[in-house]
Amino acid sequence: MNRNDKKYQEFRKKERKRKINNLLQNLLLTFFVVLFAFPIYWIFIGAFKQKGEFFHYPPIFLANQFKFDNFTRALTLGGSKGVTDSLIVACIGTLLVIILALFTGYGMGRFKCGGQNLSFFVLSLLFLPPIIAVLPLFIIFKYLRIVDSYIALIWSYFLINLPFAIWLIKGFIEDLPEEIESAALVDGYSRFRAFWKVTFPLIIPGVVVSALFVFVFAWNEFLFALMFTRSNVRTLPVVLSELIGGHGIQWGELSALSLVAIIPGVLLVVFFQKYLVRGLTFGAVKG
Amino acid sequence: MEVLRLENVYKNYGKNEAIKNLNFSCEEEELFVILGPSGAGKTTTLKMISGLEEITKGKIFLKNKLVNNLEPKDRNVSMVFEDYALYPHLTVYKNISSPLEAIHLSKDEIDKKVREIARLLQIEELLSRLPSMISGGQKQRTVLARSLVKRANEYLMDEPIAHLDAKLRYQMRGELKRLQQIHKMNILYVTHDFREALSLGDKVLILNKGVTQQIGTPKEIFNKPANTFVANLVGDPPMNLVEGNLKAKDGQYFFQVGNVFIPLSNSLADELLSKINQEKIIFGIRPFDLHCYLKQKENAKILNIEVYMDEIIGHYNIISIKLDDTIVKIREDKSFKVSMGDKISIDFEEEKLDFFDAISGNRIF
Repeated sequence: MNRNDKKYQEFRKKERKRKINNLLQNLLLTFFVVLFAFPIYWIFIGAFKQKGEFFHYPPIFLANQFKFDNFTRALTLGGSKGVTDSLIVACIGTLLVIILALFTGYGMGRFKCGGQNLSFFVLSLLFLPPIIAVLPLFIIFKYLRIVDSYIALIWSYFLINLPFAIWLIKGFIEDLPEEIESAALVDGYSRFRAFWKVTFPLIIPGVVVSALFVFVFAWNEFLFALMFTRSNVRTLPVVLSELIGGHGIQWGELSALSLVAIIPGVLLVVFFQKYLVRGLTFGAVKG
Repeated sequence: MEVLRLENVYKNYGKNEAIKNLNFSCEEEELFVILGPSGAGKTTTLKMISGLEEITKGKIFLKNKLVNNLEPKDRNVSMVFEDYALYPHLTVYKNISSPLEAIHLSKDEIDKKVREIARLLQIEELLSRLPSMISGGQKQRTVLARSLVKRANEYLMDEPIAHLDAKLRYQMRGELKRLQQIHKMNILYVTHDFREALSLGDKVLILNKGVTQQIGTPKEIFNKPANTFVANLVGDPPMNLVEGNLKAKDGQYFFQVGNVFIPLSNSLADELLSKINQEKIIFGIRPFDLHCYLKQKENAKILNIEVYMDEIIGHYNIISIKLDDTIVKIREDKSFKVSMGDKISIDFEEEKLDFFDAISGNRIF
């Protein structure tokens, strides 16, 4: 082939352009990955650093040894209680929210319970800044003598998360063709049995997504946990904040416990990825 | 024996009256068809009978038992939905077995019945598949199987074959009729296609905007439409409806449309005059009851009229002429050849004429 051929030159030019585009794209992607992943890496590496290595110059980017001293110290300094308390509050809270949101969302989505007003009210609750609920809730809890208890935290997370979960699940119910449920009713199932046989299995992706969001919210929540608890209940975010003390910051323990705090979220996403992707794109394709 | 009876049933959605004073009854082993255009209230009627919709007023009886306040599950009806409504997360087998599981039959019994109906509908090899993995026709069979697997008081079918392609639709229509006769089922069938209604139905009810237009056998519906709506709905092309005036001239009665005068016999005109008190009437005639002649035919009813349009559809030649502003269609054999603008004569037998009131549209005779 003639290498001076015009077409050949054009082809080469295009190829070069594509290569440059590719390179730029990859550079940009790398930049953002580093931007977002580096802090997590920094926590990871920090969890294995010894005292003195934190402010070392030049900075230490690789751990010299993988010793778990920081972890054991962090867990004895209230970390293990933090993990258990966070798990108790987040799990029970999520369970309650999802159960109630399932029935409420079903009622609102299927029967238009409460009409436009109720669903708008529920939506408006989503925009409520949590801090304005702190004072009234605190007073209520004080009179009920449940400050510094699991109930207080579960209750407040329940209140904050319920509107969101209802809204999500309601949307999933509305996306489901009513005929499918009608078919089950005519088949001879009661409304309740039809719900479990047909509706629930079909909105599982939505339920998983809602549960995930609710759980992660409760797991990460700091404000309520700080306000409503003293010593009986201490969730992870509170414990973490206490590692930043008056005498100085316990960097190693802080990093180790932060790493522990990341684990449930990562595990949940990994295990429920299938539902998550389906849940987030539900309704995009008519089934 | 009467299986299903509706008495003075009304259904309102807010201020909107979807069904007005519906009355009909279905006999045992009868295939009863409700025919109407979209928005007529056909699906609403089925939903009211199955219990999916409450009724505003009236009574519904199933096997002589008032079911107004019964849940769908306590009515023992089965229903085929227009868009299938298969359970997407369950296999074909599980879809079909669903009505049997609802009444807690034993596993063996369920298995026996599911396989039996699957064999009958030729979907045996699909039982382990999910609805998303089968074709439209197969979905249709699955829905039918799910509906037929249990012995129901009444089988409600909402346009069950409307979404199939023409060839499959034709085939399923025949099969459905056969199934119904073999299993002696009571079917209430809803459709917007008059061909389906007339070919399947033992009895046909015609519904428009929630109001019953006519109830009768397919033959009655076709031969003696109760009003212009029914006449227009049934037939392809539908009945020609021409509005005109009854006139007398030189001792002869005429039906006058624009400047065309169509002679009527005295006996017919007398009968008409005894039943109407205005000269304006609508006359109707089926396209195949009109005959065209290329040459001047003696005593033909309409002489020297111009061909407005001519289309050959399969075996037929549909010729259109224009009477005043109304297009009249004539069905001739395809061997009859004319072209636009040709002059033809048209003849018909007087007995084939139908007359309708020009104002109410109701049949005069």
